[in-house]
Amino acid sequence: MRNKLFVFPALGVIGVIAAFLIGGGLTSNTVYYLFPDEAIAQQSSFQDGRVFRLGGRVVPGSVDTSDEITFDVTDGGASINVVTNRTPPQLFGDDVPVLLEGYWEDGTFRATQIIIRHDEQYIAPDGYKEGQ
Amino acid sequence: MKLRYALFGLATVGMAYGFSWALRMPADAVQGESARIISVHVPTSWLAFLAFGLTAVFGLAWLATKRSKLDHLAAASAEIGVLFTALALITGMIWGNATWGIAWDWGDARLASTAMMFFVYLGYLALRRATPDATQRARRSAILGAVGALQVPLVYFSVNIWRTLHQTQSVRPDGASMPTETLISMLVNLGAFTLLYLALLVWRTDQLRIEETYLAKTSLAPNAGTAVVPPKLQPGS
Repeated sequence: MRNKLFVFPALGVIGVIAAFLIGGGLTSNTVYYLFPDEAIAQQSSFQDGRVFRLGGRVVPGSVDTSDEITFDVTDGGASINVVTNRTPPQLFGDDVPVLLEGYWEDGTFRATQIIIRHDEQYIAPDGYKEGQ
Repeated sequence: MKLRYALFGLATVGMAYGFSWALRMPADAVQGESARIISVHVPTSWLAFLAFGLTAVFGLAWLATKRSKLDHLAAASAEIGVLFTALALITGMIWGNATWGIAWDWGDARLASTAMMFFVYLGYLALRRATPDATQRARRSAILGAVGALQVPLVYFSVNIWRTLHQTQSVRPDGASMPTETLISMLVNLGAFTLLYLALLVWRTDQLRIEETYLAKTSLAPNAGTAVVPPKLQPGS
C-alpha cells in the first residue's frame, strides 16, 4: 500500500514527460514552423486557409507599405511573398528574422501574426567602447 | 543563524553590484536597452536548474541515509527553484514582449517545457503538504524530486532538440556570443543569485526543521474540542 502511494507521483511525472516527448515527436510532422523552401515543397498539403507557421528573414528592400504591408521572406533559397494588415512589431525591418503565422492565399502567404525572432548573438551598438 | 545573515548581506551587495553591471554593459545593436534583462533572466534559469538538481541530490541522499535534514534541504531547494523559475518566466516574458512582439507562445518547446517544470515542482510542494507523516513525505518527495529533475536537461536542450522561437544557448563551452561586459554582468549576477540561493536554503531548511519538530509534538496533543465528550445516555432515562 505504501509503495503504491509513492509510486503515483513518480508515474505522473513520467507520464507528463512522455506525453511531452511524444507530443514533440508528433509535431515534427507538422513542425513548429516551416522554412520557405519547405513551405513551397509542401504547398499541396497546406490548402488555402490552413494555418501554419513560416520562418525566415525579410528580404532587404522588399517591404512595401503603400497599401497593405507586403514583403518577401527567404532562408537563403526560395522566397515567399507575404501580405498582412497587421502592425509589425517594433524591431521589424530589412533582414530581420521573422516567424509568421498565417495561410496560403493564391500563392502568397497571408500573415495573421508577425513575431520577431532573435538569434543567440548579442552585439554592442556601433560606437560602443569597452570600459565606458 | 549568523551564517544566514552573512549570506543575505553578501547576496544583497552582490545583487546591487550585479544590477550595476546590467546598467553598465552595452545595450544590443538590434534589441536596444531591453537586452539588459538577459543578465538577470539567464542566471535565474541557471539557478532554477541548480536548485532542482540539488533537490534530487538531497532527496536521493535522504533515501540512502534517512537523515531528516537532507529532506529539509531538498524541500527548501525545491521552493527556491520554483521562485527562480517564476523569475525566469517573468523576465523572459518581459524580454519576449519587447523583442519578439509576444510575451508567451505555447508552441515553443523551451517556453512550454519551462512552464511544465514550474508546475511539476508546484506539485512537489503540494505533495509535501498532502503527506502528514514525515518519513512517508520524505520518501515520496525524494522520488518525485529525482524523477522531476529529468526535466532539467529536457528544458536546457529543448532549444537544440526542437525548432523553437527561443534562441539557442549564447553561453557555450566554446565561448559566449556576446560582448565581454555582457558576459561579466551575467556571471556577477549568477554569483549574487547563488548567494541568495544559499541564504534562502539555510533559512528555509532551519524553518522546516522547527516546523517538523513542532508538528510532531502538536499532532499528538489534544485539540480544543477533545475535552468535550458527548453525554452518554442511560437506557430508560
